[in-house]
This record gives sequence, C-alpha cells and structure tokens, in this order.
Amino acid sequence: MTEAASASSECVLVVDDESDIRESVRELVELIGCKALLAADGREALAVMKRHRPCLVILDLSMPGMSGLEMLEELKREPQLSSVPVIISTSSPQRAPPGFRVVAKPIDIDMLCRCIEQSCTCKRKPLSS
Amino acid sequence: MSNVIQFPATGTDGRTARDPEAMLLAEPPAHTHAVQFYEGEEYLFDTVAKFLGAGLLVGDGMVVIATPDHRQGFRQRLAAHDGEGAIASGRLLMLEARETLARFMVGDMPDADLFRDFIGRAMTGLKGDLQRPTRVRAYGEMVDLLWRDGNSRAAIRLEELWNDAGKEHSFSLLCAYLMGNFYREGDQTKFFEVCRSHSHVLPTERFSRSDDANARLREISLLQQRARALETEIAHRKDLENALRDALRERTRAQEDLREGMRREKAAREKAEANDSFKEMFLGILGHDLRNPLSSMLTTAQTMTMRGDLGAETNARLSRIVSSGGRMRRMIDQLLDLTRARLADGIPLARSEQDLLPLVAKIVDELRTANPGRPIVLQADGPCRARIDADRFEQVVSNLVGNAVTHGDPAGPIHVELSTRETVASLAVHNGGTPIDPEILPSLFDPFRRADKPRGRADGLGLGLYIAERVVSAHGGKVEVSSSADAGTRFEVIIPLND
Repeated sequence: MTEAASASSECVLVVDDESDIRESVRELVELIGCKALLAADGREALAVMKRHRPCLVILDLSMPGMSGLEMLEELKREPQLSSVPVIISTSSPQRAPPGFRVVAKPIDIDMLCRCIEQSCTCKRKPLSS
Repeated sequence: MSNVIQFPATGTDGRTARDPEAMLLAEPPAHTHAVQFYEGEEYLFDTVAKFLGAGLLVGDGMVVIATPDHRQGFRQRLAAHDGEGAIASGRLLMLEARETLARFMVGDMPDADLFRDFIGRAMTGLKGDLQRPTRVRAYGEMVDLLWRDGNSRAAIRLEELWNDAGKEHSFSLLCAYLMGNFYREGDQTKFFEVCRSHSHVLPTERFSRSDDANARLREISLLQQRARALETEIAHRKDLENALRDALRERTRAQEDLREGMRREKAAREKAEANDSFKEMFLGILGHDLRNPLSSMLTTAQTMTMRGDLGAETNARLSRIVSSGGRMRRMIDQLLDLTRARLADGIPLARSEQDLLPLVAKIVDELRTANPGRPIVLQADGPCRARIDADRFEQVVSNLVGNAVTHGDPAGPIHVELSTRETVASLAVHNGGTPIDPEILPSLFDPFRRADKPRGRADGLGLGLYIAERVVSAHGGKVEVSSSADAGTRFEVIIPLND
C-alpha cells in the first residue's frame, strides 16, 4: 500500500462530509493506485485544489458548510481549476447538475473505478485485481 | 287621556266648564292634590303665580318648597300681589327644596315619620295677618327633584306621604313635574302612577289654552289620534328593531361559523404542513441518511475483496456482507419509491423520447446472464418509440421478468414480447407453471403483499409489483394480469406512446 501511494501522483480529491465514506473511497482510490486527497466540504476542497492541483474530484452534493453545488459554482470562477473533471457521488442522483458523471450511493465500485480510469490522466499503478 | 285628566265634576258657572284649570288654581277645593306638567319654566312661573296669587287675595297661608331659581321666578310674578309682604309677615313660607328634602330622606327613600314632623312644623309655622290662616296652599317640587335624580320610586313614595299628610292637615297641594322627564321608553307606567297619585292632573302648556269647549274636544281627539298613531308607529319600530336584532344575531352566528371554519382550515393547514415536514424528513432519511452508511460498508467490504490478500473463507464472508448490503439498498430504494408514491406527489419521472427495445433487451440480457439455465425469449416487431423515463421503465421490465424467473416453471421458457398497437406500446411477459392464487389476484399490486414470498427470502419488501404498477400508472399506462394452470401467467404493460 505504501508502495502504491508513493508511486502515485496526488490526483484524486475525495470530498464528502461523512468520514466513513471519505475513508472507504480513499482506500478504493489508493487500491487502484491513485493518491487520495480528502476534504469534508466545498470550501476545504477548493483550498486543497489550489494547493495540490488534483486531476480528478469525487464530489458529494449534500454537505454542511459549502455544498457540492455551491462548490461547482465557485469552480466556474477559477479558470485554473475549472477544467478539472468532477465525478458526482450522491445519494440523490436526480439533484446532480447536467454534464457530470454521476455515481449513486451506495457506490457501485466497479462503476466508480471505471469513471476514475477514464477521468484520471496521471500515471498510476495498474489495478491489482 | 280622559282617564287621567280629571276635571272638577261640576261647575258653579259657565266659566268652570270653559276653564277648569283656572278655576282649580284660583279656588282649589280642600284636600286638592293637583299636579302640573310643564315644558318651559315661564309657564310654570305663570301657573304657580296664579295659584299663589289667588291665595294671597283670599288670605290663605302658603308654603312654597322650590329650587332657588324657581323661587326667584315666583317672587317676580307675585310682586303685583305684594308677595314680599306676605313673605315678610310669615304668611308665605319659601323653603329651599333640596335642603327640605334632606331633612326627611333616609338613604334614598323619604322617611314617613320625619316627613310628618316636617309637615307639622311647616303648618304651625305659618302666620296669618291676624291669626293662623284657616286654609293653606302648598306648592312643592321635591318630587320633581327626586324624579330628575332618577329616583322615581322615592318620588312616588313622597306623593303618597303628601296624600297621607292631606288627611291630617287641611291644605291644597300643587306639585309640578317637568314633562321632559317622561319621554323615555318605559316611562308610561311611571307617568300613569304619578297621575294616579294626584286628584287633578294639569297638562303642559302644549295643550290648547282655548276657552272654547268644542276646540278642546277637537284637541283631545287629535291627541287621541296622535297617541294611537304613535303606538302603532312604536309597534312597527319594535318589529323592525326585532327584525334587525334577529338579523344581527344571524350575522354574528354567520361570523362565528366563518371564524370556526377559518380555525378548522388553519388547523388542517398546520396538520398538512406537519405532514409535509414529516414526508420531507422521511424522504431525507431514505434518500440520504440510510444510504451513506450503507455506501461506506459496501465500499469497504468490496475493497477488501478486491485487495486479493485475504483467504477464500474471508472473501466468502465479505461477499455475504456485500450481497446483504445490496438487498438492503434495494429495500431502501423500494421504501423511497413507496414513500414518494404514497406520501409525496407520486414517483417522479424524467421522460425523454426512447426506443423501448434496447432497454428491454438490456434487462433481458442481464437476467439471462444472472440465470444461465433459464431460457428467456425476446420477441419484438421493430423499434418501439415512446416518451418514457428509461431508468424507471427498466425497473418495470426487471421486476416483471425477474418475477417470471423466480415464480415461473423452472423447466419452461419465459416469453417477453414488445409490440406497438396504434397509440400504445405493449410489453407482455409470460411464464408457465403454478398459476397465481385467484384469491390474491385482486390485491396483487398492493404494497407489502408477501403471499408470493418464496422460500423465506424476499429480495425486497414485497413492493416490486406495487412500484412497477405505480411507475406504469405515472406514465399514463396500466398493468394487466391473467393467470391460469392451462394458459400460464401473463403480465402486460400498456403505455401510451406520447402521453
């Protein structure tokens, strides 16, 4: 695991207010060879994005503080960040704005892995399973 | 009026018949107790001056019990008869009405003993020119004061005491009342009582002063007519008043009803709002709160399996967690649909123009993959385009074909047929095997029906058919079912192509 993490770039930002979800998705992301960054709401996520420039964001919509939808609005105003692909991971898929990949909760991990593979452009360790 | 105006029965000359009041005032018989009603004080002064002036002429003793203003008025009128001389000599006694009243009032009623003492002293206090006068005239307006004070009971009692005093002492008494005190509703009885306590009643100055007896009879007739007309008018107005009161009461009742209605409406609205917030909360729990922990459980368990560094036994246990989690996810989905269908505005649809064939084919493929031993035959007469919610339509197909796989004859095929008939799309799913119990057919689409629960393990809550029917109904369509041992079981979904 340590080997995987060190070999990967800092690419996938997981944004969710529930720490269990953040941790389980982080584990999955790391399992497929990406390094995960974590944030508990939209504001924290924006700060992390400015510091680490991830190549993909997995974003929950419903969060206290700055929600996922509010964060997407903020992202539009950040030219350097607005091109970063976002996968929306939500328990209310019907609330997701159009034009985004959506993974409904409970997360179908095969689907999430496919989305990550397609969106994440950085070099990473191939899937072990 | 004739019953209260009592003129002297006989006259000694023609003048008496023509002017009984003048006669009465000039020569009142002993024990006269007359009442004069008046409207203006000038008339009162004239009347009392006639009464007292005549007394001065014939040498009577006189007691006047009046207010200061009235005493002043009488003295001015009596100047020509040397009234001042009579006062000075003690033949004309002028008493202050309010002070005199205070001498025998106890509480708000006149005391009989005190009044008798007062009369006795007043009678003995009078002095004539040479000796005590044999005849006495008295004028009093204490009763009028009591009446003006609103103490009519005391006034009538005082009139009685005056009548009693008249039996002990020989005097002619004149009282006066302001007529304006008797104009209110309900005064009629009191007025009658006042008149009855007097031997003579003299009307106000409004009554004709004509000497002509014919003119007076005419006047009385007019008064009679006016009195009857007024009585009729009053009766009419009372009727109107009653009608108005009824109308007001009716309006008050209507307002009460309206207020009650508004109270009920408000209560109903509050209840509905409480229900709304309950629905919101319930939908929130199903849609979000339960899914998140399930999501982290499933993701964690699946990730552990993917890692590949665990033994086969542990992987089997993790598979059970994942499989149970999947069932739980489907139950939550069903509960959410039930809540939307039952409590909220129905199952929401995201419609778009779709070809139903590839949607049906995809589900059939999935079920073939999941059930390799079961032949599922798909027949279609070409593309079938309709405005539908693709995910929801797939949910219906999955439910019906899945049911056929579960409940149908394991040895027989399942037929899925998609066709277009005029303005509707038809999806028929057929299987052989044991038919549905005719008793449960009518309630087949009811929620939480568990009669078809196989082998103690339901992959949901018995809500599948209910939700499928609701989804089809939300599309403006219907689900029909027929089942028999010979023909097998056939479900048919009919959806309008362009609803």
